Amino acid sequence: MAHVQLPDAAAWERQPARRTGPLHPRPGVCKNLFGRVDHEELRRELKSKLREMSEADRERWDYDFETDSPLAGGRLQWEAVPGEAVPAFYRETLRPGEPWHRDRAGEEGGQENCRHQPNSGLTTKTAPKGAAQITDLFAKRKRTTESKLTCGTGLPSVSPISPERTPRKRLR
Amino acid sequence: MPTPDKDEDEASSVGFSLFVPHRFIPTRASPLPVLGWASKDEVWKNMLNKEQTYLRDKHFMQRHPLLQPKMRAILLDWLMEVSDVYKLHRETLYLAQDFFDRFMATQQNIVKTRLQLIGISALFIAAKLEEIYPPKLHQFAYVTDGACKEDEILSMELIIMKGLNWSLSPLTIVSWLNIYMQVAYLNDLYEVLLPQYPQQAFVQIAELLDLCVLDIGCLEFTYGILAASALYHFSSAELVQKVSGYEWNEMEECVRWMVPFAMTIREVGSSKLKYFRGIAPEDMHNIQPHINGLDLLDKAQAKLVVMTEQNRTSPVPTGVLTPPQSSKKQNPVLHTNSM
Repeated sequence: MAHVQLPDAAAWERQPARRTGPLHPRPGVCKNLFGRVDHEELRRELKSKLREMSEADRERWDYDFETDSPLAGGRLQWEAVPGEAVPAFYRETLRPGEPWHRDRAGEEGGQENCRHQPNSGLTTKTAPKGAAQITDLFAKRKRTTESKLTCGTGLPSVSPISPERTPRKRLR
Repeated sequence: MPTPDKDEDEASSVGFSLFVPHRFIPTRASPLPVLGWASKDEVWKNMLNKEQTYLRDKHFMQRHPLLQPKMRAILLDWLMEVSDVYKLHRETLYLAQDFFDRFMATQQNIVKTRLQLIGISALFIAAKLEEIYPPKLHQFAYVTDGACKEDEILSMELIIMKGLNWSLSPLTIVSWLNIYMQVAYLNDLYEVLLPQYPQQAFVQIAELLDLCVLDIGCLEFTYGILAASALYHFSSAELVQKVSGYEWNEMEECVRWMVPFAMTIREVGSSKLKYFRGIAPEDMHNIQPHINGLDLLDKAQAKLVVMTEQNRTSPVPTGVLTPPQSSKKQNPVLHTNSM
């Protein structure tokens, strides 16, 4: 242990752990302010509130966000557009269960700060197998032979689109 | 863009404001200097616009008959304590306070056992918006001592954001204070984006605001008025008018309301710049300390009861806190406890 090197001051300053304070702060701050909470009841409440909200969204957009599919016969007509027609941001996908950034891979509950329940958006959706995903309505993104030919510059086997990951947030 | 506020620059003195006809609501004059990166009038207009679009309901407690104002104070005081422990910025705490108050105004019949979840979720949202390194979800759950589980915070997070219709960027009380202080201490180089003011002065006024925000009565006033009134208690009407653009008659009511709080801070406030390990010295004043606000609030509210009657008609004393020190004459801005 004698030769453990402390990082220099500047590097130390960038350590996230240092900024967010102790993992286990002094016990004094840990308080249950207003008495015993019935978590079963609370969960039921939250669930019904969330359902209420997603019902409202469903009505508003004529779209089933649970299964990522348009509702038939509503006011709104959903129309598929080619994937290439939308900005790249909307085409980024993340497979369910995959960590959203590399550093979190080994951490327990790697997605803890981003929700993966209803309303989480398209990128982390865990739709049941067989259900239509909105991305199914997009055109396939693989480059066709034709496009390879037209812009082929002889670059060897670089995948046409970089690995599908949420861009990693850079730490200052 | 024309500057409609120009003629307000030469604002009348305090005494004159009594003769301003009531129906005349002056456009708030812009105190901002010329900015290198934007039109100062546009920036000012956006700031005022936020003040008008982010509305609070001062009667929101009436929607929740089972709650008492004291519970809000307990919650906010604890959120300050959490902010202190995790070294969160003042802005984060004040965002959370704004989210909490506005969210409560959209709800009905909330019971007290739900308050802590709403509060910690508001702070969770605020930290993610404001902090470079926000604490982790499990750290937020941890400080509730079992009252809030991680999945409950995530659900409440979404409920709050939907309740607020995703309007999550108000101009907070503390950001108004920051702007006023910055303008008050503008140097010749007009370095608006870097703090020019003494941290000690900022911290004292912020401490007064930390106390005021615990009292539900603060909902009567806009954030800009609250910050201006707190600044007034450490300076003068002239200065506040210059840096905030408010006329005296616009802030008088709030200044009066704030008197017992200012006296309490003067008597027992710590008004020290708290040291936080691992925080850059120039950022130290921006970290939210915990000031044991509940004790201070009790003292201030006791004063308020006594003073309400006798003070209603008497003039507001200037420089309630400390007399101006002759040694600070060349720096005409603030009376701070240099101790």
